[in-house]
Amino acid sequence: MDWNSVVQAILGVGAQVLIPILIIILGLIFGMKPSKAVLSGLYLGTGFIGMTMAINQLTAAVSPAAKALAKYTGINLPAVDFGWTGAAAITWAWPLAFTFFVIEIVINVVMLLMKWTNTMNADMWNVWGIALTGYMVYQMSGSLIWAYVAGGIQVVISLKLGDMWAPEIKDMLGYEGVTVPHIEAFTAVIMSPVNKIMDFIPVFNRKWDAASLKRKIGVLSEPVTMGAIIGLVLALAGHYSIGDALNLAVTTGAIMAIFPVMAKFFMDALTPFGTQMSNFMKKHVKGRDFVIGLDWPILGQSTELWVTMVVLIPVAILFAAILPGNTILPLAGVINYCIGVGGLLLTGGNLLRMLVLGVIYQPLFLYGATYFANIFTKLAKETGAITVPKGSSVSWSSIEAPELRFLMGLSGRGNVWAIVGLVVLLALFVWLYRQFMKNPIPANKYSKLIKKEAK
Amino acid sequence: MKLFLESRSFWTGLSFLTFLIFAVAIVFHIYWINIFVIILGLAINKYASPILFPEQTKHKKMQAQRLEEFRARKDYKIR
Repeated sequence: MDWNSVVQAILGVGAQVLIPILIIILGLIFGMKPSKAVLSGLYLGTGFIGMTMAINQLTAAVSPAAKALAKYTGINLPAVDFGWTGAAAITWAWPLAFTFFVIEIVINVVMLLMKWTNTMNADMWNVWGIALTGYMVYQMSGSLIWAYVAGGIQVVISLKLGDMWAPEIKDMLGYEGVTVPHIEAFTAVIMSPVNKIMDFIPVFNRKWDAASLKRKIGVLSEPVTMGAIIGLVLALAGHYSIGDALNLAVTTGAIMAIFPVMAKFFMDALTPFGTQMSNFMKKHVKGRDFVIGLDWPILGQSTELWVTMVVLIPVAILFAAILPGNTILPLAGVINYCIGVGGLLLTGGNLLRMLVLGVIYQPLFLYGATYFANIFTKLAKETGAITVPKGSSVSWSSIEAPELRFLMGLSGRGNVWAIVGLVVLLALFVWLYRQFMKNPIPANKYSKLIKKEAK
Repeated sequence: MKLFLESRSFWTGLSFLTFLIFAVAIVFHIYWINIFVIILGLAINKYASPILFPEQTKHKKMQAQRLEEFRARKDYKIR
C-alpha cells in the first residue's frame, strides 16, 4: 500500500479543511456542544480560506513587479524561487515522507505524557516541513538514520517553541489555549543575540507598536499606506504603466486593509474552543495548561507582522541584487514569514526591533537559499516534482530555519565545525527557552528595563 | 441611524461584503474596485472593532492601560 499517497490524499484537502475538521473533533472531545464545535470549525475554515487567498494574492501581486524590476536592472540571478509550494511538492515526491507524520505524532504523545510539553500540535498539514528536513538531511549526509534524528529534533524544537509562545500569544492577542509551533519561528533563536544587544540601546526600548507609530508619523504608518506605497514603488521600478502601477498599489493596500479584519473573524472562532479546552483541562487534568498548536495565520491580526513583512519586500529584492554570491531573486517566497513571525514573537510586537532584525537577517535566507539551490535542483530533477528551467536552478528564498537544516545536514557528514555549530545553535535555543520561561511576555521587558533606569 | 451603526449584524454584513468585493477584484482582475475594499476595511477597523470584537478591544485597552499606569508611576529617563 502506498502510504505516501494515502497521507497525501488526506492532506490534499488543504489546511483550510483539515484543521477545522480537527478543531471540530477536538471541540467535541472537550465537551463543546456539537453546534458550537461545528460553527467554530466553519468560521476557522472561512478565516483560513480568506487569509490564504489574501496571502497568495499579495505574493502574486508583488512577484511580477519584482521580476520586471530584475529584468530592467539587468540583475541575473539563476536560481528560480519556487516558494513553499515547490518545496512541499518535492517533499511529497519522497516515498518516506509520510513516516514523519508517525514521528511527529509519537514524539508529541510521548512528550505530553511525560509532561515535557503542553503543546498538542493540530497543525498536521505543516508536518511536511519535518519531512523536508529529513529529506534534505538525508541528501546532504547520506544517512537515513540521521535524517530521522534530525526530523525528531525539529519536532521537539517545534513543541517547545509552542510552549514558549503560548503565554505571549494569549497576552498579545487575547486568545487562550492556542500557540504556533511552526518551525519558521525558529528564526527567533538566531535573532536573539542581536535582540539582547538591543536591550542596551535606549531607542529600541520605547513602545514601538503600530498604534505608537501612528502617533509619531500619522497616516504613513498605516499598513494600507505602506502597502500601497511599496506596491507603487515596486511597479514603477519594474517599468509598469501608470495604470498598472496604480492597480498594484490599490491591490496591495486593499490586502493590508482586509487582513486584520479577516484575522479577527478567524480568531474569534477559536475563543469558545480555547475557553472550553481550558475548562476541560482544569477539570480533568490538574496542573496542566494544554495549548493547541496551529498555523501562523492565527497571528494575522497583528499589524506589526504585516508592516514588517511588506516593508521587507523591497529590502529582500535590494539585498538579492547587491549581495555577493547570492543567486536567487525572491519571488514566490518574497513574503518572509520566518522573519515576520519570528520577529513578532521574539520582540513582543516591537516594530522597530522587528524591522531592524529583518534587515540584518534577510541575507541569511538569501544565502541559505543559494546554498540549498543545488540540493533542491537535484531533488526536483530526480523526483520530477518540479520542472527546472534549462540552465537554471530552483530554490526557496524564505526557507524555514536554513541555519538549522544546514548544520544538521553537514553534521550528518561528520563535519566537526557543523557539529560544534549545531551544539551552539541548540544551546542558544535552550537559553532563549529559559529566557521565555522567566519572562514569557517580551513587551513587559521594556517596562522592566525602564524600571531599572528609574532606580 | 445610530442604532444601525451600533448593530453587530450591520458590521458583520459589511465585513463579508468587503471580502466579497476583494474576491471579485482578484478573480475578475477588476483591481480598481479595491479602492472600496480599502475604504470599507479602514472603516471596519476603526468603527466596528468594539462592536464586532468586544473581548479583543477590551483586552487591548487593558494592556495599554497597564503600560501607561506603569509609566505614570515614576519619572523615568531612558539612557
